[in-house]
Amino acid sequence: MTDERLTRDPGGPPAPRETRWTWLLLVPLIGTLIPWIYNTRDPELFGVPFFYWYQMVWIPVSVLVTVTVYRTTRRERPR
Amino acid sequence: MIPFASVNGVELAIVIFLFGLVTVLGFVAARWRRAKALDSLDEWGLGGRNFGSWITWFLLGGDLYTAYTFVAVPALLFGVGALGFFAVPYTIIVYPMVFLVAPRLWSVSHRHGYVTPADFIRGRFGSGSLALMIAITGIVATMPYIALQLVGIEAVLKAMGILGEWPIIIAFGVLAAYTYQSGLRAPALIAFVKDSLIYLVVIVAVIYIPTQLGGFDDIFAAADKKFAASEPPADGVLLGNAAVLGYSTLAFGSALALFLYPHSITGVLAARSRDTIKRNMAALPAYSVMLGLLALLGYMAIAAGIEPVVSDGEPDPNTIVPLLFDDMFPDWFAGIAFGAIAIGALVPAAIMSIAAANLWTRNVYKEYLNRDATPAQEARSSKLASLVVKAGAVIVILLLDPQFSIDLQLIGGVIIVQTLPAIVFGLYSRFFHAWGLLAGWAVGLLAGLYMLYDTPNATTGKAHFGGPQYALSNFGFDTKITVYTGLIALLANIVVGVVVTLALRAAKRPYGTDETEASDYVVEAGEPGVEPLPATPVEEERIER
Repeated sequence: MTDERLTRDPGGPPAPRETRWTWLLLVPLIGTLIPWIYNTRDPELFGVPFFYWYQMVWIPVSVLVTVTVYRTTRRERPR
Repeated sequence: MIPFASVNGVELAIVIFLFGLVTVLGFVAARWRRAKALDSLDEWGLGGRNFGSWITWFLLGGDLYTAYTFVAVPALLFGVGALGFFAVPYTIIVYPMVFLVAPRLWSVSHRHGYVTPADFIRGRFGSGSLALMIAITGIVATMPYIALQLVGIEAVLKAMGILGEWPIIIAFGVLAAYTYQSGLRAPALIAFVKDSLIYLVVIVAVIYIPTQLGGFDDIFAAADKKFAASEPPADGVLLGNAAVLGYSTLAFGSALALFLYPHSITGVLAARSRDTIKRNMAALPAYSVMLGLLALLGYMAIAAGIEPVVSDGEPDPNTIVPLLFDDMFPDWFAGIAFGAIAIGALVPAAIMSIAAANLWTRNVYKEYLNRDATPAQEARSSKLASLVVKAGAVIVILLLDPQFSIDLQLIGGVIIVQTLPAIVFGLYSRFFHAWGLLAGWAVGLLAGLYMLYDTPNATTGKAHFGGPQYALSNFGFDTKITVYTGLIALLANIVVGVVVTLALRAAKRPYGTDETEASDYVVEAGEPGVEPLPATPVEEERIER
């Protein structure tokens, strides 16, 4: 364990690379919070209207987004 | 009404067995990941602040997806249709947002030993009154939420044909006893059982029940038929035009509120590291898959021709999921499903009562009654408060109309989101003056309460507290569009907070002392100032690395 990272201004803004990836977190909000784009019956999937399965699809998509941001903004771990 | 008139012996035996199992676990939990002593809030109230990824996942999942959610969300789809599905976008968007905010709260809380969100407010803004208001808001919002867990158990009991009040008293009495003894370790351990059972039941239900009902085509056709025949045109399998904005604002506002609830923050602060929280924000949506599938059970109940149990002359829509299970499953599996829902009520009820008790101890008892309280005295105060909180919830449910708890919980969601400017903005900036935040909080609270009071419900004929959707026509707009009440109130809150802060800055009013510094918000476990607690065991989970 070193204090190197602390001296590297941990309270300051993260590196630009990290900030850019963090914006990805907005994607699930945009995808799910505009019901006008999915408030329709068709296309159905196994008899389930688009409204329902579209929103369910966003669950794995949001996981992908969060995992991506987690990996790209992760700081090097000590040890 | 004769209790046990039509109680199924197999179902009852399995429910009692499962309840007995978690009771044993609850008491054994005191020895699990054992600390030298449980007599501090870090141990009793936060489980040693040492839960790894798996435990945190089960704990937060068990905490956020409550028994009431399991019965109320399908009941909402059963009653009004598409609007009830808001729970899915709500629980999708909450995690990306919390991913950003919660690690900062974790870091600053660990460096300064904060146990509650109000502790953080006290340290950040140097204002005892703002901290007290945040604490009281948290307690008031949590209490009805605990009472609603009892509504979840009641729904199961009603579906089983048990109509007495004593089973609930026994269940909560036992829950209170092991929470008193084991603290947060009890719900953490029981959550493993609860979530495993719930996953099992949901997976079986969504595979098996549709095959019995002729597939999703027939299920949605039956729902269509019901909504087409019903009186209020606001329901349906798709959203009405006027409800679209209400749907997305309800999802967004509920997501903002979720992690401001004290019990969510308790779950976050009990995690071992920032990294644990971030991993969990990626893993918790698994529960949302389950919730989405569960929601569709509401339509399956329509297709299966389920009629809610009528008690005291009123149909109780919360009984439809238990009734559907009763109807579709063999007795033994229905028993497991009922047990899962009932246990699902105990985990969040325990965590909520611990969170409310910690707020009481840290921000009222230690702040105003006993400033020199030792850690042991704090733990004792919290233990006793957790008993009082649970007793209060039982009394509320037994003496008052359950509808009253549902109204209170509606109010709870609207008022807890009023703590957002102080907590969330506070984690990023010192722009706001404590008095500005107080003024905004007061305005948001009053505006929210007034709007809720001013909302009638056309379906049930209630004149007040008819739901969390406020019609924009109240503001003079010529439209039928509605918006989530909590979000409107939050907007008023933020505007007032900014204006008052700017005025105080212009008048050069001094700010309170900020005991935190920028680096406090990003430190990870193991770094200077965030050493593990001395009394905790060094059990490594393989999953951690």
